[in-house]
Amino acid sequence: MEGSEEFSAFVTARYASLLRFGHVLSGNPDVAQDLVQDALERTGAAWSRVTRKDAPEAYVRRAMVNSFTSTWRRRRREWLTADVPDQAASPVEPIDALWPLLLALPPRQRAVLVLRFYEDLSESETARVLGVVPGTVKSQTSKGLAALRTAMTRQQARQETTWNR
Amino acid sequence: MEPLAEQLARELRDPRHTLPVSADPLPGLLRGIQRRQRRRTAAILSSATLTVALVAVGSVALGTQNGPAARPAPLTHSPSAPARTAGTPAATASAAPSTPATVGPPVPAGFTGADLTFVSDTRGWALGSAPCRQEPCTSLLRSADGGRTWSGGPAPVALLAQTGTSCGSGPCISSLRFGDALHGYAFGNGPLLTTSDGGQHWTDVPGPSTTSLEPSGGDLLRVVTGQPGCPPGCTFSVQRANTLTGPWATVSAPPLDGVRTLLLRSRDEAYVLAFGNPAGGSGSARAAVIASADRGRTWTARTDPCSPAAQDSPTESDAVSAAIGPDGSLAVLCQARLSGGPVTVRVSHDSGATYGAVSTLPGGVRGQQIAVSSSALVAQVETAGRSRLLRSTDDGRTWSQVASASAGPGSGFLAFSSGSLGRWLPVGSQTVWTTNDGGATWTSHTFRR
Repeated sequence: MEGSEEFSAFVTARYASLLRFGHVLSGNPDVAQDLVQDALERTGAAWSRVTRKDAPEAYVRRAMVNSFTSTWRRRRREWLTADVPDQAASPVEPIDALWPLLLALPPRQRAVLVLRFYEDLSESETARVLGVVPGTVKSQTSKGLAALRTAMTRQQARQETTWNR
Repeated sequence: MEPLAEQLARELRDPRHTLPVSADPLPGLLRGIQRRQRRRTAAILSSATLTVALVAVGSVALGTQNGPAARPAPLTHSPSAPARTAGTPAATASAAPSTPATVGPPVPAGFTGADLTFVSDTRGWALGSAPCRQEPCTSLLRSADGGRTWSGGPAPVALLAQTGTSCGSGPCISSLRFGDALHGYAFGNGPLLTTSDGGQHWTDVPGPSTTSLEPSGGDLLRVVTGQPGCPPGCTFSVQRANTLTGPWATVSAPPLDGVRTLLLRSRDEAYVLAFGNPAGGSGSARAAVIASADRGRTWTARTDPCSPAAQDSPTESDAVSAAIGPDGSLAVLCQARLSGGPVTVRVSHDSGATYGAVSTLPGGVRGQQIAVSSSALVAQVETAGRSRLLRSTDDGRTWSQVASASAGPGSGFLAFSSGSLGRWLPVGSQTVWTTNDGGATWTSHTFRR
């Protein structure tokens, strides 16, 4: 493989960080592993082209996000005809107040919030990763935060109702 | 940022999201990549075979229409023809996986170096410039064999300062460091430039001017100033990042005022020297020295070992360079202010709290920089327009010359990356010098592929 030494160094340096990104994005350790594996294989197969045109990490992140959103679309179609699973789809226990609510958002909106507030990317950098215009990132960020706020309010109201009983 | 977004950022960055990396992912990845490449090759071959078959069928049909005289040779549609046609790309594809690693573009003609950085015994980069039609002419070279051969490639888009010269009105870079094979930093008197892909792409990081930066063990320390230019004098502060990608946080440190800075790191120890301005002629223009024993988290002020009081001498002398040895010792090079005055070296074995006896270099030289190997002190000095290396194996009592190079004014790079392996790049030179025996013998390699 052309540039294999540089690719190996890239994987060694960035693998753990990409895995964490995959986990934050998907909420599932196994899905995170698959996303990283798939994106790195694509990147490695086109390493010389990727490094000529783009920063490899941005390329990998973009591949992960695209793979995640398209996989989600496929799974949603499957879920429409499948029986209700015995267990929750995500094996991860919620560890905070907002993260479980984030995982309930549409994947594209979730990806925008993760890139903006976990990766700390600017609107234009996020737009480049997702292949959209910055205006879309801005509106999706706003809608995503509004959805989180609404979900939090609902959750708090439910908790208050429970306590009142 | 609104509170909800802040809370989200906090939760997403919680360390509990970190997943363990159970095994080396590389072997599996490389197998997957080979599978993909094989599939792609097979797809291309199928496509090529189909095209040839279609062309052949089309030709036969056309030949039939035009009569026997126009019929192409039987080979065109014989079963063996597609097989032979397909044989060529198949051979190419089978050779592809064994293609050697990229050699890279050639070194730009006339390249001269300004700074060096190595992340291992073999992998390193050289920052410099080569004649070009339009500024900036800054160039960046790569080496994968310890500096014996070099290749060109993308460089930070910024003016390059030669030490001691001005950049004019705009910001410029003078130094380069890499923390690993991917993460690099170019800096000088303006914003920091960083790369996260081994130097292929560089990004400006808005913020204060970064005058010194050193990665070590996966974290970063840097010295910054918010002032546009020094001299006449700047106030510096120290910043720390827990990872090679930031974010930066300012740490509390004793005052640091001066005209230029030097940051030294070795394992947990770190030193910052802010050199005074001897051109001001003031005896109070001393170097500020601060030391840390916990990777730059806390700092203590130390005295300037080159001051007349510290040297117990009436001669006004200034700190001009310093280095950490493999044993943790700190060596400081002092230069007398008066032309032709002595160049001295002070060595501390207790993190700069106290220093040993003053050792004096041979007369008629000007001190430029110092390095410490496991067996010797090595000093770069300038005399009669040439840079030379002097070496002492007896704590500075006696010195002998070991290498010399023609170079412009300024110091360049001189350091040991282990007890025995050291490199020297006089600024503006087309040659890198390497030693593998603690500085006793040096081999020169020109910047070329």
